Amino acid sequence: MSLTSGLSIAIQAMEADQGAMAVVSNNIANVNTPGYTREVANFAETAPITYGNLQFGTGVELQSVQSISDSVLQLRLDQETQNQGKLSTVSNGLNQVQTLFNEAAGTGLQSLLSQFFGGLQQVAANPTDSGLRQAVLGDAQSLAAGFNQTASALVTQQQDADQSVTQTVGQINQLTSQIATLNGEITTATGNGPNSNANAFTDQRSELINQLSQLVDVQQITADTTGLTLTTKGGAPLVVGNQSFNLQTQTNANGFQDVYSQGTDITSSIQSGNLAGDLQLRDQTIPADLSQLDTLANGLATAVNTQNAAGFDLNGNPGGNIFVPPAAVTGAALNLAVATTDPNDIAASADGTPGNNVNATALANLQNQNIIAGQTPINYYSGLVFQVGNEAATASSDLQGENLLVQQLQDQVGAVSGVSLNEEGSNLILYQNAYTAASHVATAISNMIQTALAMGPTITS
Amino acid sequence: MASRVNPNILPDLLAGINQAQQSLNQADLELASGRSINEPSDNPAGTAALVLNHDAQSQVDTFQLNISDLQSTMQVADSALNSAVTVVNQAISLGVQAGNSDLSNQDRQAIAQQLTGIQQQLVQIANTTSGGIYLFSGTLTNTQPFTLDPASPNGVDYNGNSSVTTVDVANGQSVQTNVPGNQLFLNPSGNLLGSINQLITAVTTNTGIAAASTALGTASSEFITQRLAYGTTLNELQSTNTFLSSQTLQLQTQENNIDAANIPVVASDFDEAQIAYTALLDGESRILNLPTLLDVLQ
Repeated sequence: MSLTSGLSIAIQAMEADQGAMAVVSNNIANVNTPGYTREVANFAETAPITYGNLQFGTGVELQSVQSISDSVLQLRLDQETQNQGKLSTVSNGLNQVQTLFNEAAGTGLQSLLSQFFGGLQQVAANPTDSGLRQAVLGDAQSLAAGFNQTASALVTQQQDADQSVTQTVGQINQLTSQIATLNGEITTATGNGPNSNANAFTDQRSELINQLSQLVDVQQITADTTGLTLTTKGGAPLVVGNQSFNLQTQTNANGFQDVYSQGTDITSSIQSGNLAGDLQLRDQTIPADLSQLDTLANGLATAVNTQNAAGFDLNGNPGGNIFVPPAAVTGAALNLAVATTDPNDIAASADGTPGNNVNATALANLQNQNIIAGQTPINYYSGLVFQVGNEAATASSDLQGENLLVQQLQDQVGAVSGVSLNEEGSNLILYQNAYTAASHVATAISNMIQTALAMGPTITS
Repeated sequence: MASRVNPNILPDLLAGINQAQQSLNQADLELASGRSINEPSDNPAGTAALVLNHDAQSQVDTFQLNISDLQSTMQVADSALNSAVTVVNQAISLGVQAGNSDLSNQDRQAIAQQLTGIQQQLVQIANTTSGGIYLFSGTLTNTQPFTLDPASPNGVDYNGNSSVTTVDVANGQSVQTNVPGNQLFLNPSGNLLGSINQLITAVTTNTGIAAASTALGTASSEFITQRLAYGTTLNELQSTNTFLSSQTLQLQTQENNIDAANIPVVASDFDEAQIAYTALLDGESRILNLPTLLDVLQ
C-alpha cells in the first residue's frame, strides 16, 4: 500500500462528503417547494484491492442521490384528490342552488304560492270586490316572476357549469402537455447512464399529476420503455410517453359542451375531478331541480286555468285563462306568465251571478288539492326544498370527509417525502465531521510524505 | 427506528383553524338570526317542514282576514234587520190601534199613511248595501232586491234570487253569509212585506184589520227566526276566530320548535369555538416558533 493511495482515499471521501452536503443543501433549499420529495445521499464502498494476501479497502464513493417517495401512497392521494375535486365542485354548486330555496330566511316560492291562494280565498269571501281581485292578479304576477327568477337562476348556474367544463378541459390539456414534456425529459435523463437521476423532473411530474387529478379522473400505467401513460378511468388517452392527447369540446343538442377524446364522446364516462362535478351539476342535479319546478309551474297554471274556465267572470262570461297556458312542461317555470290584466276575469261565480263565490272557493281550494303529481302544490314544493337541502348537506358532509382523507394522505406523503430540517441538521453535522476527519487524514498523510521526503542524505548543490 | 412524521405540519394547523373558524361562524350566524336553520342544508327536513308551517300560517291569516271582513258586513246586515224589527213592532201597534172601533175614518187614514211610511222604511232596509253590494238580494249583489209595486199583492217586487252564499272560514269549515231577501221579507211561512201591505189595505178599507194584524204578528216572528241566521253566523265567526288564533299560536310554537336557535346551547358553542380558535392560534404560533436542530447548531 502506498501513502498516495491513502491520500487519494481521503480526498475521495472529502468529495463524497461534499456531494452529500450538496444533497443536504438542496433539501433545505426546497423545504417549502410543493411536490418536492426529499433526497438522500447513498454512499458505497469502492472495490477493494489485494496486496499479497491482504485486502485493502479503497474508500467511498457517492453512489446515488435517491428521491424518497412512496408511489403507491402518491397514487392513493391522486385518487382521493380526484374524488375531492368532484365533491368540492358539486358542493359549491349545490350551496348556490340552495340559496334560491332558503325558506328559513323567507326567500323562496312558498310565500308567493300562499299569497296567491290566500288572495283567491279573499275573493271567495268578497267576490265582487275589485280591489281584492286586482290583488289576486298582482299575486299571480309575483308568483310567475318568482318562478321565472328561480328557474332563470338555475339556468344561469347550469351555464356557469358549462363554461367551467370548457375551461377545465383547457386546463387539462395544458397539464397533459406539460406532463408529456416532462416524460420526455425523464426518459432522456435516465438514458444518460445508470447513475444519472431525474428526481427533479419526477417530482414536478408527480405534482402536475396531482393537479390533473383535481380536474379529472386519471389512471396511471407505468412502462419502462415509454415512461408513463395517463388515461381517464374510461380509457381515453391523456398522455402516452412524450405525447399528449388533447380533449376537445363540442356543442350538444342542449347547447352545452360535451367532452370528446379522439372523436369519441366521453362525457358520460367522466367520473371524478372538477370536470365530473361540473357535468353532474349541469346534466343531472340542476336539470332535476328545474324539472320539478317546471312540473309545479305547469300543474299550477293548468289547474288554475281549468278551474277558472269552469266558472263565470264578473261580466257573466265563461272564465278564460289566468296564466298563459305553458307550451310544454319543460320551460314552464322559466316562462310562466299571467294572461290577463283585467281583475274581472277571475271567474269567481259558478252561475254567472256576481255574488256567487262557488268557483272562487274552488280556485282557492286548489291550494289543498293534489294537483301536482299527486300532491298539493305546497307539499310538492316542500319536497323540492327538502331535496335541494338534503343534496347540499350530503355533498358538504361528503366533502368534509374527503378533505380529511386527503389531508391524512398528504400527511402520510409528507411523512415519507417531506424535508425535515432536524434530519438535515443532523446530516449536516455528520457530513461536516466526516469531511473534517477526512481532511485531517489527508493532512496527516501529506505530513508523512513530507517526513519521508526529508529522510536520507541532504543533497547540496 | 421510530416512524417518521410529516415535518410540515402547517396544512394540518391551518385546517384546524379553518374548522374552528367555521364553528365560530355557524354559532355567530345562529346567534345573530336567532334561528338554527339558516340555509336548507342546515336541516333539510326542518326546512321542508317550515315550508308547510309557513303555508299553514298564511292560510290561517287569510281566514282571519276574511272573518273580520265578513264580521263587518254581517254586522251591517244584522243591525239593518234589527232596525226592521223595531219598525215592524211600530206597525203591529199601529194595527192594534187601527182595530179600535172608536176611531174615526180620518184617524184610520192617518194610521194607514203611517203604515205606508213604515212599508217604505222596510223596503229601504231590505235594500241595504255594504261596500256597494246589496246585502239581501241573494247572489245578485249588483241588483237592488226590492222595488215598490202597488200592483203586487206584496206591494213590492223581488228582483234578487234565492241563492245562499257560504264562505270557508277555516279548513273544512264554512259559514252561511247571507239570507236571501225573499226568504227574509217574503217568506211563505210569514210574509212580512206582504202582511204589511195587507194591513195597509185593511186599515184603508176598514175590513179585516184584526186578521191582518194577526198575520203581521206571525210574519214578524218568522222574520225574527230568519234573521237569527246572522246572529248565529256572527257567533260562529267569533268562535272560529278564537280557534284560528289558537291555531296560529300552535303553528308559531311548532315553527319555533323546528327553527329557533337554542340560545344557551349556541352561546356555549360560541364560547367553545372561540376558546378552540384562540388555543389553536396560540399553539400554532408556539409550534412555528420552535427551533429546529439547525437553529441550535452554531
